[in-house]
Amino acid sequence: MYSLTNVLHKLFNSMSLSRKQILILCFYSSAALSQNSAPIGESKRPPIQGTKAKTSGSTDAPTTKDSKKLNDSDPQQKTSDKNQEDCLKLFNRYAVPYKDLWAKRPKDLKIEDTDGLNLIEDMTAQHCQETETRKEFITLLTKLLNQHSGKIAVILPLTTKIQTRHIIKGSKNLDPKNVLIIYDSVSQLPRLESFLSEAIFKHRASAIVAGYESSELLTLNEVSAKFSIPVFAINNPQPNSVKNNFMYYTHPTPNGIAQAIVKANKFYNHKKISILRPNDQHSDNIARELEIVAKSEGVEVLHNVSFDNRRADQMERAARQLFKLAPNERLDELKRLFENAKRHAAAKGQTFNPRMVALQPVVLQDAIVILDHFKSVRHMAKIFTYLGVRKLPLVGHFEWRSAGLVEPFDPVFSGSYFVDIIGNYSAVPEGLRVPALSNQPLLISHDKVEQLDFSMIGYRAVQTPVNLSMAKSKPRRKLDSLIPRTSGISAEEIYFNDANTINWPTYQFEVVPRGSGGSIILK
Amino acid sequence: MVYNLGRALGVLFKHYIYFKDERFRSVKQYIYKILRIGAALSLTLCLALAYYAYQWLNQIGAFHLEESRITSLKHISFSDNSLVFDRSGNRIGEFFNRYQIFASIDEIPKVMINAILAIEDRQFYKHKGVDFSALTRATISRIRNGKITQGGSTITQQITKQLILTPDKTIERKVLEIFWALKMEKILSKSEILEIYTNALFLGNGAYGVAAASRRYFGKDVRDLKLEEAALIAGLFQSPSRYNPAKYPARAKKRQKMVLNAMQKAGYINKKQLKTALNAPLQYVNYKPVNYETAPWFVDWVRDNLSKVLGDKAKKIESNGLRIYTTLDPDLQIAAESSIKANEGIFSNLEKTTYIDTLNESGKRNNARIESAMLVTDPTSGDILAMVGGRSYKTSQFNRTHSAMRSPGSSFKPIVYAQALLSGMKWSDVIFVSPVNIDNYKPRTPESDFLTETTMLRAFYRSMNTPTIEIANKVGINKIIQLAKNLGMTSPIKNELGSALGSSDTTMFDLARVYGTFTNKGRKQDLIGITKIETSDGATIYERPLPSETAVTVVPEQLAFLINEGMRSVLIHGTGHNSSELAAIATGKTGTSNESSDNWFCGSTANTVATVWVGTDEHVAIPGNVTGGGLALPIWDTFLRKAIQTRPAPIVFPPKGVYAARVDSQYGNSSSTGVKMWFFNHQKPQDTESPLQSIQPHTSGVYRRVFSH
Repeated sequence: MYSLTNVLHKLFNSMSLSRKQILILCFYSSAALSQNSAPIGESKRPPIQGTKAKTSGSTDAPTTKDSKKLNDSDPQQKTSDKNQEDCLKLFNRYAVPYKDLWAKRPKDLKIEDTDGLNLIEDMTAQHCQETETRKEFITLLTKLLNQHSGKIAVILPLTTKIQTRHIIKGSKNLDPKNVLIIYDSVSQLPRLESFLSEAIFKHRASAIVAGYESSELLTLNEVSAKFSIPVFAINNPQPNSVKNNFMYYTHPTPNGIAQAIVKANKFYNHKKISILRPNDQHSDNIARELEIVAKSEGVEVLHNVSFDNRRADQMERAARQLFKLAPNERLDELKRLFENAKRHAAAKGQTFNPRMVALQPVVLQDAIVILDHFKSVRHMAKIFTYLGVRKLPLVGHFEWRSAGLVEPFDPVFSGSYFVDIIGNYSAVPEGLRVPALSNQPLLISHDKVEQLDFSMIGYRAVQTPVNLSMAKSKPRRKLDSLIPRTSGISAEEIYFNDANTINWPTYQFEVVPRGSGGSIILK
Repeated sequence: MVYNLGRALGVLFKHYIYFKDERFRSVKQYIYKILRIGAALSLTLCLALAYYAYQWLNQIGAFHLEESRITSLKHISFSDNSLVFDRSGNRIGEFFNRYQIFASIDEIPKVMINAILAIEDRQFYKHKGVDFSALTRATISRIRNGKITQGGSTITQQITKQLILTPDKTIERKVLEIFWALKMEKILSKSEILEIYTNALFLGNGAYGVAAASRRYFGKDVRDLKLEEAALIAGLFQSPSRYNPAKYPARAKKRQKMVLNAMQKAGYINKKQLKTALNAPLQYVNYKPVNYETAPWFVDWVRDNLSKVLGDKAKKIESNGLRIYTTLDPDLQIAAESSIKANEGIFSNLEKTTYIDTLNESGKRNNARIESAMLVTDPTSGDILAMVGGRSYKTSQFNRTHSAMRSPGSSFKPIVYAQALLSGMKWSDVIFVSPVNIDNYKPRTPESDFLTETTMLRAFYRSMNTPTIEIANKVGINKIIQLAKNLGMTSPIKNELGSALGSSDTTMFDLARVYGTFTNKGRKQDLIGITKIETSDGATIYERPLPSETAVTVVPEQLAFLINEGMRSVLIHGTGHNSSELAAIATGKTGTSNESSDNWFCGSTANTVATVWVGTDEHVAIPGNVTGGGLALPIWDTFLRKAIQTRPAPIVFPPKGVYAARVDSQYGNSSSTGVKMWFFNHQKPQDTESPLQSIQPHTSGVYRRVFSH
């Protein structure tokens, strides 16, 4: 389905059709095909006869619109035009996606077919004319949409992305009842779809955690919407992605980081900032968000300059832009300096050394945000000093949090601050806790940092699904109503905002001198 | 004159007796009267003459000849050249106003004596200082010919003329010469007179005496002279310049023939000997002063240094026959010179592209001459073992080891890092390598090093500038300068950070002292070249103190060891890597000043410090990105490989209080695959991996890839 929609998306691009519109077209087209093919009797099996309909344990309806039809369906009622019409609508709405997903189930999947899942495969629109079949279909559909086992399917590229193992570790930390079913997608979309099929048809999963690969997000969004199953993607929303109430994003967001930085700026009363960022996509994303958030919060962004953090000359050039030291700036002033220096040297009988002549930096900003890792930042700080900028608060994000920022200590960092998505390491869930460095209580060994990050991401990703899985009495298609959405809870609690993205808590740290070295404190 | 007057009076007296005969009484009386008057007049005249002669002789000093002036000539043996010997006893230099080699009369061969006597004074053993008959012959000959055709002076007279009187051609001088000669013969024996004659008289080419002439003309000891050679030298006494064989070989040969003939005539040789000698070819040697042969710059330095060693006693060093024993090692000296010569090709190539500011006739800039120098010392004693002051002494006598003030460049850095270690830093400390600006001082470092991190040791062995400046700024340039002085720097050091990179000019002597102190376990030794000075009769007037008495501990042994091991890393991993094969026994540091105008390698084994410099006297830039590692190191390498053949390097054991650990050279943490670093016992490298290792250098890799998976 995904491939097909993609092709159609491209095909209809010129017609300005959205992906959603294309999906609807696909849906109806396939439904029409099914209807048209039915009379020819090409189905693999004859219509299922005598399959007993089992009523759902739930009295709730699958979706708001369709639920009434489903609930109002009376098996005892004789076939009527209206029932047929409703059946067809349901068929068109659900049967085709289910048929597609069923077809993608693992070939060796063994399911004890107590619910007549085979009906999905054979179901055609014509079956709506047959009372018994219609009843079976509606019953099956009701079950598929409402029943859930309390299991959570976690589908991640375990063998292709090493860090996902730490996500699994973090996820399992919240799995005392062993509700997680772990799948390895190997970064392959067909495998993801196959496991989704297994999770939905076989395990009746309450929710799905996946989407580590951005390429998976569209499929997951469709599945979550069509099957009314909560999906928690370990990712950020893609641009132009269609929002639906079953698709959530659990990854920290650039916007969240930007919010935290601006909050810290305001805390330190830094109202004018400049942004330096390496020229990569994720730094660009944060910088863009930072500009937006800063503007909305009354913090002025004077510069937003990128650099190649592999080249000292590029870093210096970027830094020069911040302080009006670019090669062609202030030429007249530079000429005057040269002439003065020449005169002084001549008066003292010394040789004029042009290397001793330099423009003084013009520092207009209260702080400089450097969206790069601590190593790059340390070099950048030395470049600032080289340019004559001795003392200026530097501001950073989670990539600053390292002993490498303060050891060996450069006093230029005293008073600088940064934000992170993890607070005190001693406060992380017990199973994930890593001992702090002996001399830096807010830091841990660098080789554990990233592991813990991903473990915490895994932990956060399953936090809500695990809660949902416990509400077995709640129809699955209604689980979205249990997803926390308020912001009035404590920072450690999880909630999702209007864009269905998670509120990663953020923390503010400050660099302070300590003895002959430096330290990091949590503000 | 008195003699002649006496004889005249005698004749008159004889005639007086004859005329007393009666037969001639009247005539006699008349004549007698005349005679009596004549005699009276003559006597009066003679007395007057005698009186005036006496007065004249008295006036010219003929009766006041000081005996001491004659006896002092006996001490001619003390008026000897001062000789300089290397540590093996080879003569490597001579200091003299006059080129003299004293040879006692017993040491002078008979053939030489005979040749001299035959041509100069055949009656030497017969006369009493003056050969009157020869003198008369010479006088008559002069009167007849109007010029001097034959000499009438005896050897004794010639000594008088040359050594006591002035060479003026006056009656007075000639009369005094006779008086002096007569007196000398009374005071001195014939042997003594002959010894003086054969040692003291000028024989051309700067040589005084037959032994000196023998050495200078024939390059041999006087005892080894052959007949024909002795004859040639004997012929020089009359006119050394006229018969100088170096200038007038034909004239000298003619004179030699004359001497040989005289010898045969005097019976000293037979005809056969004469014939053989006449036909024997004379093998002259080109005069090459010994000072130039082995270690000319060193000999110059010894001469300059004598006054420092001897104080007032040094005034007569050039003529009082001192025997100066030095530290120079002849094998190492040869090795040092040949090592520089081995790189002549490189120098020549560099000269094609290296220019000085002056223009030649065609208006183009003149090419510079690439120079090189090497100083080799023994760090344990301070002995100067070899000294090469330049590529060619003939071209330039300027001693670049001692007198040239040059920028040491990075070869100053061991002092900076020593102070850093003293101040509590350790080799594994990490430094971020980025541009540095300290009070507008912006040292240059290759940009490829920027954005990397390094341990202090790696910064040292790769000779990085900006980390060194940061270290210097941290520990304080004042402390570094003080340490430099303690280690042996005597040149003034500017109180500015640039000095940490070697911007203050210094000498090779200074660097040799500093490196020697590190090699000698922190004990400073001043450099010495003279071990002992004796007079020619064997009396010691100076002897160096024992090295153990002069060594001054200026830094702890452990610190010296750590610095030395740091310099071993230079050879193993750093700018001296091309000589890594020598790292097992040697340590060292490269140095390159701005624009490569000075290129150094200062390296050592436990018993030898060798400092090499390459540059130009005009301090001009040498193009082509040359460095101390590229120019000076190969010379040092060549030298050391030769040196250890005769001077094996002892094994160095670590002192107590230090230990080694394997450490990641870039990030400073313990690592089994890291480089070997030495620490004081109280220091410790970081146990855990550096967080910097999570981000690879020169990649855009990110830390905490939360957003970049």
